[in-house]
This record gives sequence, structure tokens and C-alpha cells, in this order.
Amino acid sequence: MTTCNTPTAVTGPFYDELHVKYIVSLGHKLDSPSSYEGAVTEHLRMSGVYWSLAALSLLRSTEEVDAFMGLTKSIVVEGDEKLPARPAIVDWVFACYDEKSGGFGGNCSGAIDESPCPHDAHLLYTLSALQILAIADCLDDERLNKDAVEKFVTGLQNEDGSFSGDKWGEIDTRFTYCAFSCLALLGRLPLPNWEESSHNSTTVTEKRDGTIDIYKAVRYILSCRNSFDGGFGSVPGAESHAGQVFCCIGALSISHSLHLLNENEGGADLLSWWLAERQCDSGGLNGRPEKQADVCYSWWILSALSILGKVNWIDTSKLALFILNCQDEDDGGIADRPNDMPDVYHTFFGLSGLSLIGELGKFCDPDRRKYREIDPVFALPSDVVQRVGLTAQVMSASTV
Amino acid sequence: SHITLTMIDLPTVFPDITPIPQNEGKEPPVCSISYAPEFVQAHDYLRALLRSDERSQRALDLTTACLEMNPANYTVWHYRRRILTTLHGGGVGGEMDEEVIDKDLEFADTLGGTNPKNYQLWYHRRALLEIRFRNANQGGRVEAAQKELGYVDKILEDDSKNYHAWSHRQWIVRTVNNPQLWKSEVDYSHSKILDDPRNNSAWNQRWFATHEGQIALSSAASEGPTGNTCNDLKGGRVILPLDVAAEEAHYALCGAKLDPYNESPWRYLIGVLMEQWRFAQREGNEVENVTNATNLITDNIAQIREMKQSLEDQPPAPDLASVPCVSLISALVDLLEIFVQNKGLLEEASTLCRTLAEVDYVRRKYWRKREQDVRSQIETLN
Repeated sequence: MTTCNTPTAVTGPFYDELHVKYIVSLGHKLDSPSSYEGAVTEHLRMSGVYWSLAALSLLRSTEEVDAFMGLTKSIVVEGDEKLPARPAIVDWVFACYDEKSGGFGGNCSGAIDESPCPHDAHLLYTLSALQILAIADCLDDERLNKDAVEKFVTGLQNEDGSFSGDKWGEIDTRFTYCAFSCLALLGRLPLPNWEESSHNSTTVTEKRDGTIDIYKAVRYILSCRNSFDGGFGSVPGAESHAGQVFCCIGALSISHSLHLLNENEGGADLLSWWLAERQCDSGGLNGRPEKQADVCYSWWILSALSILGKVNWIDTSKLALFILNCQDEDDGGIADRPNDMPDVYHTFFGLSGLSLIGELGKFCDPDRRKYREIDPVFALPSDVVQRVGLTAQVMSASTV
Repeated sequence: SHITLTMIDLPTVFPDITPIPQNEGKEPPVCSISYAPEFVQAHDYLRALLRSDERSQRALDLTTACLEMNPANYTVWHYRRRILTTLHGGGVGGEMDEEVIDKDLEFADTLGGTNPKNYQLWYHRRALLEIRFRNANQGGRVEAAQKELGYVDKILEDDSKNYHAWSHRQWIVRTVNNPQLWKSEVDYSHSKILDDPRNNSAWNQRWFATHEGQIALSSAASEGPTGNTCNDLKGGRVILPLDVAAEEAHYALCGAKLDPYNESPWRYLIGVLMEQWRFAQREGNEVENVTNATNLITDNIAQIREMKQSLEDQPPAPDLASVPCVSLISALVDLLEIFVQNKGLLEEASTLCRTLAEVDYVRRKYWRKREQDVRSQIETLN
């Protein structure tokens, strides 16, 4: 085991054009009736589309994303001119809206322009749907019944403040993040007032009708904190996991409750340290102690560290090199680790990781375009976050 | 026995149903090769049944076939549960035939082997067990819990860090809340730590079982527990009694000795000790607690220093000869730093931070900050 004690130089290559091609061609590849991969991921297509759009948004302008992906307009796919034009993504999103529940499903079946049958509504896909609409600047589309979606989200909060993913009741801190982000995108998140002393106590507060109980929700998040390592799990007692950490920190950030971390043992620094410890010899990040590095943690951990203002507690250059090594140099896309097959999930998180480190910009031609940046809290391009008027609480980046 | 698609001739079983294709109105591209025609056909029929929400045995059989092909489809799992409750009860507050529960657990088991990370499968098990636990007496609950824990152990044999599996164990033990089960879970964690001391999930489980198990232990005890009872539920946190904390610290150090370069036991050790320290610091707490916590920590510092020395004298492997053990030194720094009035210990901590900034190079900026913090504290003492 040797330690390399000199700063790492980050050089490419970065396969910009190939990544664009990979993302754009993925959509109609998965929709093809002959695609087995498409068939087994059909139920989560809403998230797949969000990952594609968000990833492409980091590499290309709003107009280019719309044109290549057919976001707001129906497009004919190159090579498929015999077929009817694919419906606009936004139209498909609304076809996945389930009026009965007020939420969005992961996909729908049947013709979009007749009576499509949306899959069962779920918080995960409701968030992805709203994120797609945000990217498309369609949050004010008349088809979006904000009251109904708000009601769907609110109805999923449980007595203890936690959120279920759907009416069947599975509870996970991922769903708290989804709920907060959905409500923020709808402009319906009630912000807490922690100054009021009654909310610092552990007594039960009356839930105001029609909105979530933000205090209970935040207290639930904090109850999922593991005191011995400062991390967060899916439910109280569950092992600290980087993905869950992102969801909890993101939720605390969205609800302007991040400062509460410092009222607990170890404070925010203990957590930041735990996150920093995830960096392996390869430069990549793992999700839990003694597990393998995976590109997706470049997002979960980096975004959490960004929110906590401690990105410099890891070696970002080494991480950037790891991500670059996970690119597929033949077909584009990014894989979970070097030499594996790429997929859109890891492509999005790899690109987001590079963006958060500030390494994406160095690859672009200064005369052409500037790569767009990703927002660490909402996992959307920062210009979209600004446009929608989303706010969050972050800790200022330390210089040490 | 589960149904395979070769056993269902769909048009014969569903003569009254018109299948609904995924993308209506779209002709397949010329020269397409369908990889899974049965998959497509089965799901086309399922779509039609979903639309009418048919609750029947034939619908159940079709969900079986579809789930075998794609166990991740949450809509199909929901539909299956709706059908089961209609056919066999188990809806809100109701009972479901035990045999039905067993059969469906078995069905989930046949899919679980190849899909250990599938959320829907674990959730389906939980949904079924919730009904079983609800309707059993405590004896029956414990028996059912042990059976299910046995199933989870099987999964953990193949994938010892499976997050869902460990979380499922926590849910079972918590739900049944039997003192014997809590104790067994501590023992189980121990056995998995022995299998692989680097299994962080097992260490986390030990923390969970020793801490939350305290609640069940003290309510089951006929006499009050002796020594420092620290059943403190501030914000829901349970603190270990001092004697248990000392045992757990000792356990962690033994774990660290097995492999000092392993993160988990050090993290566990510091967690146990800091918990005692913070509790002792709390307003209104007795001086005795501070003394006890201080002694426990001082004791551990001495042992860690010893370990550090013996690692330097006799490295565990040739290639580790010149590599200081970051986890060990980091733990030592954490403990030394507690003694904010003791210049000597703080100086020691400061020197160690400097070593770590060199040795743990990727995290050098963190260590430099730690060093700075310690130095600031030393300044205030001057």
C-alpha cells in the first residue's frame, strides 16, 4: 500500500459528445418493444427520464435538451421516421398522473391521447415528475393540479412524522426527502419557526389541516441519526448509509433546519467526517465502511458535503479522476466503477459529481458554451432552481 | 407450487379479456427481435386485469407469473396484495389464513434468492408478517419471529452486508419486543462480527441491540437493574448503563485488536465512550458520573497507546510496516481532545493530527483543521 502524497492533476479525456449521444439514444432504445432492459425498468421510467434530462442539462443548453429529447414538443426519432412521432415527454408525464390519488406513477400503459392507465402513484415518481416539469418550465401547466398533488404528499405523512412512499405504507427517510422536495417545487412547503420555544420541546404539536407537520417531520429525521457515527439510516436504528445521509441532509436543508444538527452529539462535523472517510484509495467513494467505491456516491456524498460546507475534506481531484475512469469510451455514459457497463443512473450521478467538484467546466471549450451547474440540494440544474425560486439552508464552505 | 407461464395458456384462461399493449398504436420496428414474448403477452393481459381491478385466483396466478419475470414492479405487488386480501382476508385489522401467509412468504423466498436487494420483496414479507404478528399471541409472535430471522440469516450468508436484510431483522426484533429476542440479536451480531470483523452492518446491529434492548430488559426485570441505570429517553436515545458500556468498550477494543486497520470497531468504541462522557456532562448529573466516565476513557487511552506501540514494534503484515494505523490514531485523538484543560494531552493530540495530515493524505485538510482546533484550545490555556 503506497500513499501518493502529491496533489493529483485532473486531465481528461472527457467524452462529452459520446455522453450526449448515449443519453439521447437511451430513451427510444428502452421504449422499443424488443428491449428487455426497457421492459424490466418500465415501472420506474419516470425516474429514468428525470436522470436523463438532468444529466443532459449539465452538458447542453435548455433549448438543445428540449430539441434532442422532445421535452415539450413531440419529435420524430432519427432512423424511426416510419413510426408516429413520439409524444412530448411532458405530455407523457401528465399521462402518468393518477387523478384518484393525486400522485404520479412510474409509467403508464395504453395510448397517451386516449385514456392512459397510470401506474400506482408513488412519492418517488411524483418527485421525478415534478423535477421533469421544473426542467421543462411547465410547473404552471394547467394540467398540474397543485392542490391535489399537495394533498397526495400530505396524506402520506404518518403519526410519527415519517413519510410512506405510497398508501401501502413502506417508510424510509428517502420518502421524507421526496415529500419536502415535492412540496418545495409546488411552492407549498411550510417552513418551521424554530425560534418559538414550544417547538423545541418534545411535546406533541397539533397538525394544521391540509399541510404536513414540519416539526414532527424534522424530528423524525433527527431520530434516524446514529449517534455513534453521526450518520443517518432509512429508519431509526438502521445503519448509516450515504444515500440515506443525502436524503436526510437534503431534507433538513430544504426545511431550513440544518442547524439542528449541531444541537446533537458530535454536531455536523462528526457527520462530515464520516462522509469524508468514505473516500477509498482509488479516489472513489463508498456508501458505508468497508464497501466498494461506486460512482453514485460521488453524488450522495458530495452533495451532502456541499450542503455541510465540507467538500474540501476529501481529495476532489482524486475523486474526479475516479469518475473519469468510469466513462465508457466507446459508447459514452458512465458506469458504477471502471470497466463496467454504463447506465443512465450512474451517468447522471457521475456528471453531477464532476459538476459539484467544479471539474466539468474545465473540459468545455471556452468559446462555445459553459457547462451548467447542478444544485446539491434539489438535484436540478441551478438555473432551474433559481427560476423556480427554490431556497435551502446550507452551511458556508470553510476554507480550511 | 408456483405457476410458470408454460402452465397458463393465456387466451384460454382469459377468453373474456382483451390484452392492453404497453404502447398502443405503435407498430413494432421492422426486423425487431422480441427477447421475451411471454413477458410481453403476460403483461399485456395484466394491464387489462389491472384496469378492471379483477380479484380472482386466475388474476393471482397471473401476478405470480409476472413477478417471476420482473419482481421489481411495485404495481404488480400491490395488486397481488389486494387480491390476497379479497380472497383470503387480512385487510385492515382482519385475519388471513396462516397457510396463505406461509405460501406467499415461500413465494417471496423463491424470488428473493436472486433478488436480495429488491425493496418490494422485503416489503411484501413485512406486509404478510404484520398480519401474522397482529393475530398471534406473544408466544406465537416469538416463534414466527425466530422463523423469519432464520430466513434472513440465510440471505445474510450470501450477502452479509445486505441493508434490507439487516433492517428487516431490526423491524422483527422491535415489533415483537421480546427480551430473549433482543439478547439473541446481540449474540447474532457477535457471530457475524466473528465471521467478518469488517462487517459494519453487524457492528451497527450490535449497537442497536445493546441500546434498544435496554428498554425491554428493564421493563422485564423483576428487580431494578443495579449500578448506573441510564435509561434516558431524551429524544428517544437510550444510554448504556456504565457497566455495560465498559463491557462494550472492551468488546470493541478486542475487535480492533483482530484487525486495527478496520474502521468499524474504532467507531463503535468512540461511540460508546463519547456517549458516556456526554451523559456525564449533562446538567444536574452527579460528579460520580463524570469521575466514572473519565476513568473509563483514561483506561481506554492507555490501552490504545499500548496497541499503537505494539503495532509499531510488530506490524501485522510486512507491507504495513511503515504505515501508521489511521483508525487507531484517529480514535486516540478523539479521546485525548476531551481533556480540554490538560495541556500535555492536547499537545499529544496536536502532534498526532500532524501525523495524520501526512499519512491520511486524501483527508489532509480535515486533519489540519483538527490540529488547528486543538492548538486554539492550547492557546486558551496559556
